[in-house]
Amino acid sequence: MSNNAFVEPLSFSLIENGLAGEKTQFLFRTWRDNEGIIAQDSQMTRLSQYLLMTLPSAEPGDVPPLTFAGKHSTFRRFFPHALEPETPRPPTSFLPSVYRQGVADAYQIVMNGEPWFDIQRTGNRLGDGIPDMTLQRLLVKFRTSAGFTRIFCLMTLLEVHSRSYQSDRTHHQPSSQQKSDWHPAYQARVQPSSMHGNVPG
Amino acid sequence: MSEDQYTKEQLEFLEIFEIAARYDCLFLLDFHCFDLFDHDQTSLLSDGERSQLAAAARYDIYAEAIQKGFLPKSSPFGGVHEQQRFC
Repeated sequence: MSNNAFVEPLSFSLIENGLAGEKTQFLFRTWRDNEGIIAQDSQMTRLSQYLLMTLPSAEPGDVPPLTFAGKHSTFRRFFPHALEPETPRPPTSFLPSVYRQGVADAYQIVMNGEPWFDIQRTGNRLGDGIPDMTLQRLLVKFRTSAGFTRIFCLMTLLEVHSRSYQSDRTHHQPSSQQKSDWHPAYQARVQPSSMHGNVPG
Repeated sequence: MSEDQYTKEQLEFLEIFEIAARYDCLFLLDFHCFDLFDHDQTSLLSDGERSQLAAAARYDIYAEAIQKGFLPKSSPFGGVHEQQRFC
């Protein structure tokens, strides 16, 4: 990565060892075992409520256009109005440019066929009213046998650091969780006592 | 069954379904269906729900199909209507 101090790549072995949560492990294994081919799959469909999907191309230094955001994704949680039909702006424009630029490099890698796995400390980069968070992100590129391509992003919220955020603006009860007391890289950055229950992303 | 025998809502869904099938991305319809209705059984949806699904999935399914040169039709049975062409 370039000078994106708030994004740090992680080893895929963490996923393989089951330390990144079941959802991340399922997505990564499905991508690997199917060699990046996506087809109708009931387990993947269930996971989709936590996924973001984008087109496989982007402007330099920016994230690709968003085509899908599952209702339990962190994006929908923190930017609930971004995908409303009457919203005149592209959904990704709700992300401040400083954040988009910081996370954009990984998409270029994924567009070339490699997976990407990282941890992020967002600080104030997501804008006013959005808390400082630690996020885990897995990016993989899938294509159909007909060549239809999407980048899948599974973002997992590991911790909310600031207290200014008023719970959830749309979902009052987070649904299914991944275990959060797992991550060696994460544990190196935060005190175990400060870890919250995980919210799917 | 002729095109005239379908309602507008049915045609909207059939159009999206046809494109998804043509580009082998029916999984996208499943994703959107699950996101809206917590199941992926489109056969269980009412016409209104199918129309809602078609609206939700339209951009996702067209976004890349158009890049690949696809020109949306007004119905799944052919006959591009000039006023409904996408650019």
